[in-house]
Amino acid sequence: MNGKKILSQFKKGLLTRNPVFVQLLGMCSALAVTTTVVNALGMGLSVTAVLICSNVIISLLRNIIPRQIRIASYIVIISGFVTVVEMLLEAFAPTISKSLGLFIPLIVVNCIILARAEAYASKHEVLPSAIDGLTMGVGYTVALVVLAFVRELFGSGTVLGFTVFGDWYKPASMLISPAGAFITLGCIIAVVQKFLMKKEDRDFKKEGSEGKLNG
Amino acid sequence: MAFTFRGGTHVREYKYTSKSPIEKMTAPDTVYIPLSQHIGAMCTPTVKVGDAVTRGQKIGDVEENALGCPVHSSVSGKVIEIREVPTPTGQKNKYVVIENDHLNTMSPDIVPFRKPIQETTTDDIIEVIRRAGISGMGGATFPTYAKIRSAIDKVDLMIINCAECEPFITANHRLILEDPESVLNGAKIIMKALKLRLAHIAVENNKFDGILSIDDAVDGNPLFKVSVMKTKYPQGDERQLIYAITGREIPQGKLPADVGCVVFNAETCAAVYRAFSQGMPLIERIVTASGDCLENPKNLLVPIGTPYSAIADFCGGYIREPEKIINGGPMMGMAQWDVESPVTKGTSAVLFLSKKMNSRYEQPESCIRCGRCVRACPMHLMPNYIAAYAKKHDPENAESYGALSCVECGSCAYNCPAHISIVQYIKVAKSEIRDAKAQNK
Amino acid sequence: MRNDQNVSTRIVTPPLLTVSPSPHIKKGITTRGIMIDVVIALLPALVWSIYVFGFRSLSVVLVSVASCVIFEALFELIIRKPITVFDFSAVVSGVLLGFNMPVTVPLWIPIVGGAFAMIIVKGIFGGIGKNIVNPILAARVFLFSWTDIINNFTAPMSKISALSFSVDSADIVASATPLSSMKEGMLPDISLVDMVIGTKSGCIGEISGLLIAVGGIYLLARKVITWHIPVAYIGTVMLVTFLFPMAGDDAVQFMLYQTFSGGLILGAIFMATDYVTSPITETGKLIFGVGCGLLTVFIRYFGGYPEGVSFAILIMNLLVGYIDKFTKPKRFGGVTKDAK
Repeated sequence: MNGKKILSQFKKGLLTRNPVFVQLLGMCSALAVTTTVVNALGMGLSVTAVLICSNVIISLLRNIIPRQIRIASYIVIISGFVTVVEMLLEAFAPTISKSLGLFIPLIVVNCIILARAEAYASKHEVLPSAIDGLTMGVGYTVALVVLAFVRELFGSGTVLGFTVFGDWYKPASMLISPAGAFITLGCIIAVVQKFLMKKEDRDFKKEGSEGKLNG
Repeated sequence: MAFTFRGGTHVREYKYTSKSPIEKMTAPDTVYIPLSQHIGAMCTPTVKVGDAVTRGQKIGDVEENALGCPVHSSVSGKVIEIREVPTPTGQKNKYVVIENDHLNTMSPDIVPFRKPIQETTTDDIIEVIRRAGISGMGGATFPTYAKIRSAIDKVDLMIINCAECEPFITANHRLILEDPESVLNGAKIIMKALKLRLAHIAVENNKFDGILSIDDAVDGNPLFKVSVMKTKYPQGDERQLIYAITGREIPQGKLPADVGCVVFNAETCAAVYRAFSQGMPLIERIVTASGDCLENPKNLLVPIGTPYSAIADFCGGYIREPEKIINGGPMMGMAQWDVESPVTKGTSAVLFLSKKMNSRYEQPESCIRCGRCVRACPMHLMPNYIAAYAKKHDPENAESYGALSCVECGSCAYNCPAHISIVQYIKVAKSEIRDAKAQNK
Repeated sequence: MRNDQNVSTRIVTPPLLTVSPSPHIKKGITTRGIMIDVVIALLPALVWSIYVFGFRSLSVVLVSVASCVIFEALFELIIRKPITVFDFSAVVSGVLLGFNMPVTVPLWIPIVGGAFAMIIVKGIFGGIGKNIVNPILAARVFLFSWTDIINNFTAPMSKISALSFSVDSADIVASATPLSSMKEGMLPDISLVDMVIGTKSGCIGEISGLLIAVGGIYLLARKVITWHIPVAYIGTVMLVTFLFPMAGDDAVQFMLYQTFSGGLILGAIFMATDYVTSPITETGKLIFGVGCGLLTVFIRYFGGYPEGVSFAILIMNLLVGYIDKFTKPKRFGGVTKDAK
């Protein structure tokens, strides 16, 4: 895999195929944990770790797992890694573990991990699968951090725990609530879609009339 | 106690000409007689360029078993051209252009019907009506003989439609004021053909003097019953009329004969009487020339084929510039692109509307779901949804909201605050639904 | 009269005639006309509010209107759609938004509320005619984020400065709203007459049930609204609160206190009847009104907030699509199976 391919993979994970903003996967965890940026980072990194590891193992075992029981096997593999991550977090970052609470075990059924396992890792070799896991995980983390940044900044007036605005700022506590999460996520998705459509138009125009005749 | 129906809308009446007696208009120098003036096949001309014609002579007819009736010349003179002309809907029509020699030579074919009434059969009546070229003069232009033929043994009630619910038009009103006997006699002939014993004469209650006049003419005759209708648009539509008087609802896609009724316009009845008493074919009709642009709006007796410009001149010309010239009423009539368009058998009014009448096309806005169209629809549809689905080219959903039942009366668009051309969208939806159905067959 | 001497002044048929689809005459109602009627109907309540709370009512309402109009125009400018502020729907939204706030709010609250209502609730969904929920109520619920500020009611006739950006808390004479008293199980300690006429504390527009009803009668006369939603809504609330009183000894008295408190009259006449977010059919409107009424009473009795009107209407807004679908009017002549 050359550098250019890896770069395009990252672009896919971050933008054009962003798991949360474009593929609309893993949204329940995205909505629930993004009340602060710290939580978002914690969650994102945990998911990335699980994603990379599970992708590698599933890719290694891809020719051995029978087709009919593949989903069950994936879940077993993923839950193994989630348990490891859970124990690590409890040991080394207990505050984050406490604030993320139930959502760590729920990483097992996070659609992103299952989707990437099914769509990519079970069909490609180890190194590409690992890189895919990394790029998707990074995209997920970035998405969560962006969402959490907006919610924490306007909803509590802080970023990473530090008060940003002065006393004059009355935080909009609606943004911390689930309703605010949905509204914020919806608005961000709208902006991202608009940006992507514009980009598509620009690419289309660059191809010019030849693109149209070929298409 | 006035009959009425649920839905509909109250429109401003603009009956400028209700006090103007019918004036016989001098025939113009040239008449343009369309070969397609009614529902059915287009007539083929029976004369050619250069032929001399007399008043009342047949100049076109349809084939033997086709739906349609002959057209006749309304003046005497010479055929100078047979011209193909586009209509406002984009289809093509053919005009027989006749130069008037102003001699008014009557055709020798015009002979009164002489058979005694006891020996007259239904087929006789149908034949005379067909030969006279009479079609529905309220605007629908369905050949009258065909309507009678399809109603034989099916109907028990006739309604003489004198509702005239469209604004401006006063043709039927003046007819029953000035010549109610011809209406009644014509109706009697049709009732003989269909073996009917009762005819309702439906008049809206804004024509009070007309009601008194026709009541006098009926004079207690048990064959007729004058039914006063509440003034509401579109009372004159046959579905609403039949429902208001009898309570019977015509199912979608069916005809009045299927519920036992048959409806004829008052002037059609008068034309039937003339066809029998004088042998006169349909060559002239009452036209209300109105609007806010004419010097003297009038009710005129106009020869078929008279161009609108001649009517405007006869009414004293314009006092302001017309923006729209409409054939028929302002709610359902068709805007014309050419002031030289001729009067046909179905032209009940020619309206010249200026900018001040708000008739201009306004930029439509977003539908605000106010529901005025739903309340106004006489067929109880939901026009806003039909228009919305028509816009999206979704014929299935448009049909589920009732597009095919729409009678295109315009009550919805009349009331729309967002200036949406609802009727136009529904027409589009109807054609898309029919195309989709034809494809699925 | 055709005058051959002055041929040049004779009017001729223009070379181009307008050919457009029928109908060729219109009633003349415009969206703007309807909105102006609504504003007129709201004026008595506004005037009363100025009398009770001072000119700050007017400044809050004006800031609301300006905020709604400016944000709607800005959003349409940014997404490059035609600017529709001149149909005055934003003006009506602004007035109603102002009416839904206590007079003590700092002036940035209506600005934020207006932005939320016009951009997120109305603009993103497609502008006028396309929003699913009532923008003003959604904005009001969004403003509940600042719970202390938005629920800061002052007693009537207290002196609040009209033009200051935020109100000095010293000027506010705190008093419980009638609804919060009833939630505690006691009848409010103002007379029923005061409740109806409006000498009580509450949001700017909701205090005078009587004057709002006057506005409602004006709208009924002008045929802007129909009676179905207000009657169904208020009727249901009256019926349920009469049958199940929660405070006081007299069921009728409790019912009347409940009916005239908490912006029910304002909500039933002006907010629930919003064209875009209410059903079109008359049966649908009745169902909508009853549903709103039931939800309002449930939220008032069992919910966390003493006030239920906003949430009730918002929830019923979401069901309007289904209500319309299930209450399609019976077509004239029915539908035949294989209709051509």
